[in-house]
Amino acid sequence: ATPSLAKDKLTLKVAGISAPEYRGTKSLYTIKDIVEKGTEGRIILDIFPANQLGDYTQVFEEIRRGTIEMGLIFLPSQFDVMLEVGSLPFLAETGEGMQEQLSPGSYVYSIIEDSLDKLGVRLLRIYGDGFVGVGLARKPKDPVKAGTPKDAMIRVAPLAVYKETAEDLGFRTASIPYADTYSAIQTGVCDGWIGGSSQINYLSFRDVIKYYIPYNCLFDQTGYIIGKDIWNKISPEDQKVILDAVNEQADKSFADSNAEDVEYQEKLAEAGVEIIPISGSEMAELAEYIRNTTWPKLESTYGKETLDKIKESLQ
Amino acid sequence: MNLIGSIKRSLFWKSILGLQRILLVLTSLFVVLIMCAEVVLRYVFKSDLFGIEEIVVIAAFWLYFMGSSYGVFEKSHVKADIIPQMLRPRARALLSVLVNFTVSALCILFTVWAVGMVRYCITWMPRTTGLRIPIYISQSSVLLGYALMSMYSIVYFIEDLFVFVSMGREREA
Amino acid sequence: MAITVALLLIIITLLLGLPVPFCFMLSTTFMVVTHGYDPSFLLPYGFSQMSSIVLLAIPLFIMVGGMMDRGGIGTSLVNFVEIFVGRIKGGLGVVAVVSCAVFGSISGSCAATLSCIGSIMFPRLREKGYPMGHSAALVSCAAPLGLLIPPSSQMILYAWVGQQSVLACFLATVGPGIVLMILLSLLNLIMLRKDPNIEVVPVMSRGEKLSMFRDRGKRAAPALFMPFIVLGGIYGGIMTPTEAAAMAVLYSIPVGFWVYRGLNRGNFIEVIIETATTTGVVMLMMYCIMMLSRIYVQERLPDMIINTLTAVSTNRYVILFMINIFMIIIGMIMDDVSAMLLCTPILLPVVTALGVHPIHFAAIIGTNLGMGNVTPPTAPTLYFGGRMAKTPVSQMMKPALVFITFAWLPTLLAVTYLPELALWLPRLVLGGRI
Ligand code: NA
Ligand code: NA
Repeated sequence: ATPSLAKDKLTLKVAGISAPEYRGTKSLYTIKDIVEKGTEGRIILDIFPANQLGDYTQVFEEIRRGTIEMGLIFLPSQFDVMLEVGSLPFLAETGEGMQEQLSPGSYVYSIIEDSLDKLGVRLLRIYGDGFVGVGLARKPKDPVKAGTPKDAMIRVAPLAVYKETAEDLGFRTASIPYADTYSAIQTGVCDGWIGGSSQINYLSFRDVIKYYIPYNCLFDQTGYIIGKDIWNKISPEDQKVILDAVNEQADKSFADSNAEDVEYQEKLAEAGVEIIPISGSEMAELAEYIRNTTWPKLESTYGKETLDKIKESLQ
Repeated sequence: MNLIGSIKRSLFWKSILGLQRILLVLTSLFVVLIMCAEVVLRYVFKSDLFGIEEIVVIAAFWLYFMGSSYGVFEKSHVKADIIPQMLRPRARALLSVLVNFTVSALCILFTVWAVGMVRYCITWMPRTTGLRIPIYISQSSVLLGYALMSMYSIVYFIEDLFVFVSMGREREA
Repeated sequence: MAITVALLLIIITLLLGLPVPFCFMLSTTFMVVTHGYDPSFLLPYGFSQMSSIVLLAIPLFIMVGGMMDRGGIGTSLVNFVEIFVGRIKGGLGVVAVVSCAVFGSISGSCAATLSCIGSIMFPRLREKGYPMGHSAALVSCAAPLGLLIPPSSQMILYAWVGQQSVLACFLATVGPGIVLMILLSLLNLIMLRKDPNIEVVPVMSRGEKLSMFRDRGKRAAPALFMPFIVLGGIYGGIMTPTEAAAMAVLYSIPVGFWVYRGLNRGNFIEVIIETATTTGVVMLMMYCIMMLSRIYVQERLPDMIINTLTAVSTNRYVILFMINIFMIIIGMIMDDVSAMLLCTPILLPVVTALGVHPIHFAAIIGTNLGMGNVTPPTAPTLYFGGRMAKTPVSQMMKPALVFITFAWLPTLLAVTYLPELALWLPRLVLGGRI
């Protein structure tokens, strides 16, 4: 169970949350190849995808304890609510804007990095999974206008950010376990859900949804993280090999997520799901509305100062 | 045998059991009513109790672990005793002593581990994502559950040990 | 291999009479000691796995079963079923089998089904001259229909461990449940066709039948409304399975108190404590197996099993056959819940890697381990049935083996090799994605 340090060989258990075929998981296998070659076998990555070692909250806790060494997971907020800050609604409206916000050098990135550091975890990079939209079984009222009642109830993850955003857009919300969401939409317990990219909507929900609205209000992201203790045991050269591999994949992820969003919206349309388009000006309006309405509600959670500083960085 | 009898008659023993029974009833009813309330709210009031499942899960954990420790008291944990049925009474009594010893030892070990788990939670104070309720509130049910299991199983171990020893005496006499 | 020793340790201590959760704990402790696993993550791992509202449906369905059993719902159900199939030689046996299936649409457990239907049917079967060894074996072998006909605590468990839709898993075992019900009924009729001692109820006129249907139907209506709440609520899109279970508990309370009058203030609290304890017993097993299954994953046990199996054959059907044999053996020595908990995390990744649909496997594992309840030596349902019927197990063995060989095994084969038997209903109800 503990990494064997014999003969300078270090085996790191790497936990992922997505299915093996998903590009985030594939990136782990690419990193594994590069790292094992680049370190000439001094570092071995043992990859466990698809929540095999537990869900992200559990994996995160274990990375802190050192019983799992590394992961590509959602950053859970159970220890520090600031780790949710990357999920602020309309942190940026475009993929490029999002990449800037979630890459080293930005204010948001530094908040997340510091918060993880205090918890004994090192952030290697943030991985871009994609913009989140709303998938629905029936057409809502005034879909592209924020604030007006949509006359539809959607499933939200148990995160205040998601719930507030969905409600400010004009949806009623329901808390339903993710595993039940498909059948809940299908049978009509709820009308749809927020929290997945066009890809997830295509892969898992295309048979139950009839409409997809790419609100781009939230951005799905995961972090490459590693326990600080184990990181410090790795020699600087080997650290560099890991960092280079991770940087390459992280940079690629944002561009991939843009292309993927387009691709899967097309696929959704082919599968008979109507895409309700949102124009650039409508998107700007939505973003402004949410930043003016939802953000103030989140001040008590993240601090007014932080939000002001993020707003500044947006200009 | 007197020792065991006086433990089982003591106010402490009885009040612990009484408390467990009360907790079992309250958590069961709470879980049922809240889940039903959620349905009613959704259809009648068109609203949602945000994060309610986090509270339900807390009640559920207390239900699970009070129930499982009460199960140790009632000796109702599932077992497959095929070999004991084939043994003579004295050998069966010995095996029962060994089984109860193993159960007690495991319960104590897991109690110690559970202390570590709860202590970590109090130090780092992880919280649920929706209502930000400290996790130790539900996790301490695991600790208390194992502690109670240890208590009951130790008493049963001593009881069985007495039975086995007295069987030996009878045979000598 | 330490992991093999850890598995053997479970089986040996189980046979020695160590209660199931403690067998799992001992095995976990063994791995902690020999492999340096850190208990500081195992306990919270089990905890985080169990923090699920989906799982809560299990205790709630256990509670429904308890309330309905004590509430006195069974008699009216059995009387109702009797109108349709009571009047041929051996017909009362068919009534018992069908009643188990009908009660199964209310209760999620095998034991509750047996205790409810058995307590009503055994006196009647005895009165009409049915051989009691045969009757006890028949009802015991039909009791697992309580698991195959939804709702089912076993399938909730499977869905939870395997991250599948509870709804789809519920529907998967309906097909094999119906096949089993038919096979058991037919076998019963064949076995009793020449028995001279059996009294047959005289055939009634149409008018008599109709008025009886009215009377008994009225009496059974509140009970029959229950599956309507549960299944209708779930499939009709009003509630999630957990919510439906809670609603069913809420419904069963007034029905038990004032309609069938089996519940009163005294036994109501007792029922709650009893079901809460049963819940605790199940949940502790689950907690302990979760820790252990985390170790299995880290030791790559499913990979090892795949490699071993594929070394013998790469044919999916041959491998499914071997897996079935393995589960039958597990089912012989374990009860259904612990067997399900032990097998799902190990075998589901194995079969999905071979291209078996997870919902198809739900039906296979459900049928196989449902049978485990009646396969000796560990056959809790069979022994419980014998106790209820006041019949020695030795008299039950022969008919039980006939029912197992000619009803249960063919059902298992059918569900294994005809995936459609499991999949048609989920596909029909849930559409293309299944
Ligand atoms: Na059932
Ligand atoms: Na068995």
